[in-house]
Amino acid sequence: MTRRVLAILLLLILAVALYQALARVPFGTDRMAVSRYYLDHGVQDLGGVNIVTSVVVLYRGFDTLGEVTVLFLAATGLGALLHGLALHDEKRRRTKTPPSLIMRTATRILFPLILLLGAYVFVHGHLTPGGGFPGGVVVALAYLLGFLAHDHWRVNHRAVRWIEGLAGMTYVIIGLLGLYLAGSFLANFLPPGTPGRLFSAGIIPLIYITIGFKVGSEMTGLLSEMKEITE
Amino acid sequence: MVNPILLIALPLFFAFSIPIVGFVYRPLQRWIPVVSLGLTTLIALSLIPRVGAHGPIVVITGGFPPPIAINLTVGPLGLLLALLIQVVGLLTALYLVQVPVKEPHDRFSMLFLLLLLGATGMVLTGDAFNLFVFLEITSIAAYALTGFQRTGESVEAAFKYLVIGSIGSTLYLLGLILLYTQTGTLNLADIARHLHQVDPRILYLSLVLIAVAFGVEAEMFPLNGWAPDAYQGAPVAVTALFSAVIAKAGLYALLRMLYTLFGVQNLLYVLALLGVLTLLVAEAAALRQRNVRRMLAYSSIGQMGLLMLAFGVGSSVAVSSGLFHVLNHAVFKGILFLGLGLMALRTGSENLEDLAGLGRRMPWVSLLFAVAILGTLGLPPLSGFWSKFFILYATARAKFYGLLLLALLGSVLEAAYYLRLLQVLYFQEPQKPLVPGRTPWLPALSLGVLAVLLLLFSAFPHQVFHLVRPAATELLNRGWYISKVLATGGL
Repeated sequence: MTRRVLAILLLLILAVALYQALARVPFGTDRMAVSRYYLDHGVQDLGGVNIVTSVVVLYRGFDTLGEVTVLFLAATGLGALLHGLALHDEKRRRTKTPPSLIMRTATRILFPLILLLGAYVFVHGHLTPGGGFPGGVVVALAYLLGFLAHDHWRVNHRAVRWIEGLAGMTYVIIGLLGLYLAGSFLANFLPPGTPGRLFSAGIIPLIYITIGFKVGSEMTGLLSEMKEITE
Repeated sequence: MVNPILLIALPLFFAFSIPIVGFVYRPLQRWIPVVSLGLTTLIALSLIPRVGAHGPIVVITGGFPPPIAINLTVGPLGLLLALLIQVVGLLTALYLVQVPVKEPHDRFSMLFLLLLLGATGMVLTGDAFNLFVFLEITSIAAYALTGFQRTGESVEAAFKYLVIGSIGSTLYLLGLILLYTQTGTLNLADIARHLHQVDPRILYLSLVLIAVAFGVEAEMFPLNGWAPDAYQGAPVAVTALFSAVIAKAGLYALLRMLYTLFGVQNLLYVLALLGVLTLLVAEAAALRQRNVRRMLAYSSIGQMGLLMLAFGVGSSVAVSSGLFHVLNHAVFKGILFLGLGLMALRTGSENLEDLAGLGRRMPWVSLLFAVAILGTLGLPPLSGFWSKFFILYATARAKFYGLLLLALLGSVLEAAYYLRLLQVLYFQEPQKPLVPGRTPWLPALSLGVLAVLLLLFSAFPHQVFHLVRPAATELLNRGWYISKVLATGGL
């Protein structure tokens, strides 16, 4: 009881303090010292018309490599904890409704289209909203649909882990090429090209393609592991 | 010059390569952490002369200077801790080659490498948001490793750690967002330079949020409830890392925030007070433990409290001896946890009564174990004496007599349970036969190297003080750090 009261009290204090602080954050005034630089110089520096992407992949590319690692860790950690686990549930298994004909047929048509959409999203990351992370997730969703529609569906775990590892290594190698060709890790070593074209923005599309492959294979592997422990 | 970014890039490359190496030639897989950490140890060593001569190396990424892009600031302090992380990591990796944790081995190696990578990134980065990313890498790897044994106990510990750790990371992010609304920059030095623009109410709220966040990682009382369980639930080699280096990375981040980002030297007495509380509560709890691992875990938390006292006193002597104690504690706890792991291989348990009589049956491991205990207690010829003595001396010089008394009381409690442990080890008759077998040689080598380090620190305390002094100066001299980082640019 006392603990609960204390916890509520603590949360109340935190809420009041946060309100007080946030009320003092001026709305609409320009305090964007660094962001202003990105907006003013982004296109000339890198040739990417999608400034968000330029910030994510180049100006703060080191963070993005870190975020890729965070996702990799989460998947690896979950895989490690699920290792050897089997959650059999006979009752649920018997009462489960099998996927309908409509579901199975539609999946067969949609699967390649969703894959294509995922690839489109990560290949055009420097031009349109999206990029490697959402693109990769869309690819994994295609597989999720397959898992739902077909009980016997499997992915080749070996292939998934090959792609995952190679994509991660490629990302680091692109970074190191930047170090040796352009003087710093993850620096752009390709010409910026004409802004707005597919082949532009230097290494941004390359990095987004590796991230797309990495995230896609990682999430697919995770989904399939979680499916397999329940079988 | 070798670019310090390789300290981050190489382990990442190796971690991603582990599954592929496993497909190509499986026996090679378990050596990858050793190779990676060996290389990073060499890189860190090779950077020492340059940092010693010219001060911090500001490493840019993405081709743009700070604060536009992220930078690493490899100063004396960061390099000292990075080197410590690589060395302890390398020795633990060697230990693990012959005493592997359970399957899946490839995933364990990846988590292990990335845990150390995260800690290295935390101590080297010069960017506040990048610090968050590395904090996430370190802590997510730590959660997974805590639960790796997949027993009820370890999974529960991992879950507890996950909940507390995630709240901590979120609070850090919240505090950082508040600062960003005011300064418009994420570079540590740049935020520090623009701190006068920040509304005081926002400033203090973000100070509290950020201090709490890193207090969790640094095992500060009352935020350390997760630590004993995690230390007990994790594989013993991982526990050694938690104690020797991961907690230190959290403490570093806390200090970097307090000393450099906020520059609140006038509020450091709060850190000293919390440090002493951490010390007392942990030592009192250690007194009651029957499980040796848990006892050492509480002792480790207590030592973190002593370090907080040192950095909270904040004088030049206190900070230098605090850094010396960081090195000592890493070596002592490395020996204790890895040694306990070797003992448990033979006794089959980590309970106090099962270690009875090991002094005669495993003489070498027990000897190192005993020396590390005496070092932790601060017995005069050993290095622990010098660091502990000067921390307490500096506390007295700062006229914190109350804290000094409480810290001494903590040391008495510590002596009580450690001497009992020694008594059990050497003067009690064994009750159970040992599991037959020999101590594997690679773990013995790791312990031997740690023992050599201990002897070196003990024989040359002046030289160690001389070595850590630039790091102390870096921490105490806020203006120097800011001007060095932003010398290349600034908006």
